Amino acid sequence: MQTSHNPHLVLELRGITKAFPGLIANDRVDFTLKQGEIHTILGENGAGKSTLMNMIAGLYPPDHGDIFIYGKKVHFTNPRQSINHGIGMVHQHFMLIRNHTVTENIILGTPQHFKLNFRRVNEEIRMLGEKYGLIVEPHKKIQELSVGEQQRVEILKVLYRGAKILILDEPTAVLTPQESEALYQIIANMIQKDHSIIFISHKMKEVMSLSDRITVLNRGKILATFIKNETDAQKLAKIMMGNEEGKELSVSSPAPNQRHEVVLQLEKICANDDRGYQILNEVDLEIRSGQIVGLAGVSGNGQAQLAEVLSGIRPMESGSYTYWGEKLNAPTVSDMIARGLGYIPEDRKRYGIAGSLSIAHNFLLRDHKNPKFYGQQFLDINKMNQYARVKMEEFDIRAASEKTQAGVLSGGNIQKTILARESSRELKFLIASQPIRGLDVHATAFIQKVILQAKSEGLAVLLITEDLDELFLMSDHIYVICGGKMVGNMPKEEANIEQIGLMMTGVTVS
Amino acid sequence: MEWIVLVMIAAIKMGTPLLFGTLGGVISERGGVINLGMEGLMLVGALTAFVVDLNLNSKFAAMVFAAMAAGLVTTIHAIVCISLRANQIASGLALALFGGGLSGLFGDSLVGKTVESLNNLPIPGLSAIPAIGPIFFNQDIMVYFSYFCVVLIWFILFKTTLGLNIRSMGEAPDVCDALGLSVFRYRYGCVIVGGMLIGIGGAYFPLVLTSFWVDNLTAGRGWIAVALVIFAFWHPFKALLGAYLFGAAIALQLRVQTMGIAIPSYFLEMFPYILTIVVLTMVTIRNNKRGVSVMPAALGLAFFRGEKH
Repeated sequence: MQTSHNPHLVLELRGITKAFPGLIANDRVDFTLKQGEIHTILGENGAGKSTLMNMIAGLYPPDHGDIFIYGKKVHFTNPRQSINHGIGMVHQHFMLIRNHTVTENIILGTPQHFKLNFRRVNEEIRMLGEKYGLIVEPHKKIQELSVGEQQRVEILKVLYRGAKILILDEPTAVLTPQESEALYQIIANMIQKDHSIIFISHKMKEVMSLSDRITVLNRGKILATFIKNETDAQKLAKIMMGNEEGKELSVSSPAPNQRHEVVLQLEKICANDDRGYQILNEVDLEIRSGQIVGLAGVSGNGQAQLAEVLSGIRPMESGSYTYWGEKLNAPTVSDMIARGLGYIPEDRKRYGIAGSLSIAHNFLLRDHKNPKFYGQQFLDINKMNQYARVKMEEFDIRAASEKTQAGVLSGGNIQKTILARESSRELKFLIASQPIRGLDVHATAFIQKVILQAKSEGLAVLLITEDLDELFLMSDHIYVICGGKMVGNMPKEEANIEQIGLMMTGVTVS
Repeated sequence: MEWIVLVMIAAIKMGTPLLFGTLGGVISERGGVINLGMEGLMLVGALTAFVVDLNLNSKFAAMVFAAMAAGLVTTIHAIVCISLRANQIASGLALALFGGGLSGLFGDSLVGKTVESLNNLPIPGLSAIPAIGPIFFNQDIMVYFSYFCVVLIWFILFKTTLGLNIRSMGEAPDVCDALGLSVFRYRYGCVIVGGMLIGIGGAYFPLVLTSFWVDNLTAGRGWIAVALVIFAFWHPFKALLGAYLFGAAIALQLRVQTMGIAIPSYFLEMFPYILTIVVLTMVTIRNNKRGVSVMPAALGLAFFRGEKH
């Protein structure tokens, strides 16, 4: 029985199993995709979604199980075979070459004449784009494009190869609300033109509005497949989390009428980027104790540099920086640490930890002079390890031991390590830059809970984020930055998500 | 003004081995593999060319064998860097020392012998143009071949499918792999073809510049070519410009020496190398200011497939 019976099935997986050293990524997975259908795969990070998709895309073969395409059994040993069978994967991390043009990216690896006729190919791509509503300029370089445009190039890339089955791996994770809306329209166009789509996401709202069917994956196993109308968001969330109750973000609320003092006040701060061009343009900002100020913006609009100015990494060119009533003039990093500043950097792997050192050593960073780690004269390794074990327990950091290299931990565990280190001192002000980006539901809930708890105890927090759900969940007050300028500023109660999305992209809202 | 033309004629001659070397480096590095072994490869090419010319009395055969010998030695670099994924810097440095030692060992008995120098071959018509003619079109056939290589490599890199694939290998081998292109095949090709060109650059020394063999014949020109690849922004036309600029520096230095001006000859010999440092620093500063990176993004990085992140 090597053929599938149902003629409507464009793709069928039977009993797919894949093991990596130390973990079973997929365990006897069955999955079907019908013609013209949007079938969503729902699951946390590490549930095995990417492994499954990579096998369909031909990056590596399954250990056991069969893949059928249009009823025919296939065995992929490399990605090209998958592409030739009409499968196209749009990766979450774009597989684009930044130094190349749109056209060069799209035609790379496709059969072309030896001498490239760029004019003809540009025209082909323009027409293909128009057909699906994917408008891009073929001659532009990728580095000149916005994230939304880059994604369109990714989609065009697979359509140009004649893909009929598209795999979209968390496509809206990096998009603004407006860009997401545009993407939904493009998806609708593709379905209309007889493509079938596997959609991977954990945003419940879009899953419920787009999908025809929904399959829930947890720890490598299929838990259930639903037809959209026969289920609802709560039920799905519960199954996805492995039947644990969705943890509410309940924290003891601050005592009423607690005095909110001004912790930080910026007036007309200007600063340059590494190349010497102005990146911050007269930025005003005010943060009070016991308050989370959310800073929304598309990344690259000066948020990173603002965080660096605040933490003393980057010098400011002009403006005034007042911290607890004291006017700071060119503070250094150690000044700011001494003043109780904590910093969760955006690129946590590069700037948040020393990847080749152990977890225990990472806790010591910036606290290396603390006498509690010392014996008579020298560092006491036992004390250091003991301390690390306590912190790992407290922050639920999962690793083989405190001697494990920090760099091999998952994103969630790295973030918890950083948070544990930063909060081990008495903090007065915390900068958290994209603290939950790429984390799974459990880690996200944990990190958010710790931050909210600290806030209720009087910490002032600057939360830099692109994720508007997080922004609204966490913030008390919202600022929006665009092109190095603050373009909006309002209490959370007065903000709405569409308006913020527009401001982020530079549309002025009256 | 006559002496400027003379210096420029010499500049082209001095610049030609640099140009071949730089072009070889450009091909290799566009594919994503650094080749610091140029000095060693040039020496291997030089010795092979000298031996073949001495025995077969054929410049053409000398050039072909020089390319093949250097290509063979670079294959070691390719295996170490691409298949075994070792550090490209370390492998390149080892190659430079290995090539130097190897050529010294086998060349020892040849010191003192001479071959005939390659004749100039004026191109009818073009060579009659004042100044330009004698400088560019009254040269030997290897110089003309280098012009041809510049144009050919430019055309392949920027106008053909093959070139797009090569450039993509240097930028993002993981993307190429996901699209079904063989990273191994392209990178091996780039490194070996690049090595062959570098070998031809080496062959230019005994066939044209010196006519004899001594130990360490290339005298560090291979290292200048390494720097020129960066100076040229990995572009064949700029490689031509850079090679002749440094060729001019070398020619000028030789001329000043023969004029008997009282500057120590050691200082004059330092001049092209000091120029290398100064020019590279300036280029780097300017690039940082503009915030453009023209360096292939995956240069120097070994490629691993299908790793779970």
